[in-house]
Amino acid sequence: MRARPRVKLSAAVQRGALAILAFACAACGGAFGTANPTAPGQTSSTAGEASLWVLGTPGTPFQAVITDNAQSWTFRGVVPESAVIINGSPGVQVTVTKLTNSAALMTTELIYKTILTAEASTTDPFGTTVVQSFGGLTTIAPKADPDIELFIKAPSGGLITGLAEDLSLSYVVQVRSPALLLFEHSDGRVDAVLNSVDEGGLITVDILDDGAVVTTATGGPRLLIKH
Amino acid sequence: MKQVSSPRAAIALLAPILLLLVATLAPTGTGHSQTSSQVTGPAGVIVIALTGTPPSPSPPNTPGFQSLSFNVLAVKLNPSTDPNIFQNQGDPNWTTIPVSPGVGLNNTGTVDVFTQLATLFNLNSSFGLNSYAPNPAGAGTGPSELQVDINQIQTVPQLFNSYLVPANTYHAIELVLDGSNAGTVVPTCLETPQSMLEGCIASQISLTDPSQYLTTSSNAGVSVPLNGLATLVINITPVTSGVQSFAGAPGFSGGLYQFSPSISLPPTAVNYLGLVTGPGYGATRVAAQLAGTGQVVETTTLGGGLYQLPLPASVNGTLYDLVGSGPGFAYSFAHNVLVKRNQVQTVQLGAAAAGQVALSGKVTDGCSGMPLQGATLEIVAPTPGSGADCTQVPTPSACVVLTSANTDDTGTYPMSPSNFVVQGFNSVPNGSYTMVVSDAGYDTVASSLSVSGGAACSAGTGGLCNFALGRSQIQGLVTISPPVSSPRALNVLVTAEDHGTHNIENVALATVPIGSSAAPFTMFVPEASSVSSLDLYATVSDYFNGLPEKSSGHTIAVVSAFAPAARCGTAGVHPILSMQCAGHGSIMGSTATFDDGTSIVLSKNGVQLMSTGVGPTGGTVPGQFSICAPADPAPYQLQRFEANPPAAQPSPVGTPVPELMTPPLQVAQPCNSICGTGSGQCLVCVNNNNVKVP
Repeated sequence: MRARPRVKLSAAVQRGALAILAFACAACGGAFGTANPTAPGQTSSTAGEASLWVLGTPGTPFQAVITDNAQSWTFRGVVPESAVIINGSPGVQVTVTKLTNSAALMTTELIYKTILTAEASTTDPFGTTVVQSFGGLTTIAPKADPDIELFIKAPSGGLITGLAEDLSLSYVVQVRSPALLLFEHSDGRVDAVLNSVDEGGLITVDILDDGAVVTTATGGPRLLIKH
Repeated sequence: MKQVSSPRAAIALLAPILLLLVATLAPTGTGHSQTSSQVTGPAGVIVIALTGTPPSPSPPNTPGFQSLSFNVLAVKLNPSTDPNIFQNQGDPNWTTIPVSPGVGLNNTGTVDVFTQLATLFNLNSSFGLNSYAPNPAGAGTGPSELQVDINQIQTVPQLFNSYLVPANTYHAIELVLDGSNAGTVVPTCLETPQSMLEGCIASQISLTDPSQYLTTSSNAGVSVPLNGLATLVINITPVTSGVQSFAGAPGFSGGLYQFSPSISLPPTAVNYLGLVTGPGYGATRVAAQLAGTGQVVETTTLGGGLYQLPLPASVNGTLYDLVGSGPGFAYSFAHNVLVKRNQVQTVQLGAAAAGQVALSGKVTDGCSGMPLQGATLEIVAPTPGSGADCTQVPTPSACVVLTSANTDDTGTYPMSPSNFVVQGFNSVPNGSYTMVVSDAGYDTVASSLSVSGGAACSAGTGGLCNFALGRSQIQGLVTISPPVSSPRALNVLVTAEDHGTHNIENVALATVPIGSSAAPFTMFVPEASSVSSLDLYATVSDYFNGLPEKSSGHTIAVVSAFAPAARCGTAGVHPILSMQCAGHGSIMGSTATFDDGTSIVLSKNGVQLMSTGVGPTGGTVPGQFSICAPADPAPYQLQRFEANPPAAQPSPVGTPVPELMTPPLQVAQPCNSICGTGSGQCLVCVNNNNVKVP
């Protein structure tokens, strides 16, 4: 969900989005706004986001290569996990490979905004799935640089909502944890406010810069982190 | 383990299981995946599994299918006996059971838990939206589906979900498919290549009846007893007699394949599940794993000191390991429990009181020191009396996985803060175990683990349970002929496996740019002291009509018996893996000797490339298999492998037979082709039929 989504949303969803935005706006004078020494804020709405779910047998390790038209990311994870491209460019292709010899199920779902656009499954040892948006891409884009990622660790499947932004753009996000937020063309300084909606408890979020953890925050059910 | 058909025995044994499953039970550990708040009033638990019957190949109209998957959103139940109830989806008596939510959504503190392995996210909890319809809640969320491959669930059913539902007798049953994408099929090449339909490419499924609801009625109904347990097995028939004679092939390559799926309830005498039950002293949770794998299929909590696990079983029975755990007690476990259809088996699990500790640590690259994300840690113990040494690598089959965990982005295990895996590592009972640490591309470490108020690992750094895994590195080159043409670069997947086996160590992705014919790759593999010899093979990820295909149209390049380097080193030889456009091909055949553990392995120059199972006894394609493979001008080898138990690593038993693929047809453009040879013509694959594998 983006700040000004084009899709028609239910009233409940709109209320949820407004609540998040209201919170974000309320924070504009503090953590997010001009009074924020990190300076992010004054953000505007942008295009919808593409997200990936890697589902199936819990605990199945995998490696994913996500690329859109501008940048790409390679990361490892464990089923279940979701990933969202923040500030993505049109077109997405995702290659996910199981990293185990077992017959565990791995399903990858590519979701644009709220639409399931492609899915594929494998039970093969080290099986690979490739899903892409309509039309696909001609090649894997260069690695994201800077490569800023937020890794959200919370109860598996727990619903996380919030706002993630860099210096110029903000995005309302709604993901199932654990989740990886991949920033495209970020200006290197990001922050986020995240809410654990249905599970409560603690959220731990790592901000990674080129794969190395540079900031960690733990809290909940609402958490603020910035880098 | 060979086929031993015993329908009479099954029928004779039907009574006890029906008595146990259908009769009202005392409240026991047959919980559910959803919070109980969704059901008010008298309720019970229903366990749903899916099985299927693939269509028989019917040349020249219906090819074999390498995969035939339906996208399932939900199962719906209604107690009504009115045949028109299916036209009233708004009837308030419909109970919807979505795909299983993720493990961790279960409220372990207040309700019983019953989860299955293939758990998927469920998106119904945030805004009270319909649980199986596409969820408009926002980016990062969407519909959750279970893709079920009919070929795979024909042997052993796939658990769908368990759910708390109103105690009732349900007569109307629906399977809800994704209305916008009902499924995907990968046909083999047609035996009449004159049709000019390319095979071995993924096509979407269209339905003869556009309704996404597959329905069936049951006069007897499925009774869900108050506080009890019921099971429901739904059989999916992709081609329904009377509607279609065979699947409808598309009018053009890559077009929609038309199916007329229907569902039915198998006759009661042919239930597909067996029940394991018994007392579990000291355990609050019992997990069932495929024997020798650690792969959890179901978990349940105990109620009244008893556990119940309805488990999918093949015709010959399926072996499981059971592991009980609970606060303040040691593990209790049973190895190789043979679960047979229609049978109730009692297995007592008992454990002594024991203190417990929370176990955590880090896993790093032993060469760079970088944290390893996604590494797997398993705590294993030998089956009493087996004498198995669990510190051996690979882990002996008599060693049972008691609990497992994974590392997070910092290399730390267990991944915080909680899910069912983590809970296991948060309360490890005092005792002596083996900790097996593994990650793709790295040496597997099997360390003695001593837990007594704290934890010590013999192979851990400084005796602690932090592990630095060794590895080496391979740098090589992949080449493609002819050079990659516009509009897409091609990805090549390079795989390294233990020499002479299909035990894969790691994979690497290389991208060959447009206009180029080569790309370098780098891959981590275990060091030479762990794995003395590797086989390498490379597969091109080709496109058809702009869509990525699983089956490559390029030959598969192989390098046999490659020697890895010593710890942290790079192999002195840089392998070159060369692939040429050859077009698709498929092989359909059969083996006369088969059971649940039978597989057919395709090799090239002694390097195992892929394997497939065979149809089960009593099915529509008994002993038959189909494989898509590039039409390599050099012969493949086909060989029968057997695994015992079926989930174990298979071993060759039959004599390998050579298989030389029929070259694909070449047709003039305009046309679509899986790859180009530079001749200006397209390739249409040809099937190789009636291959006998001894």
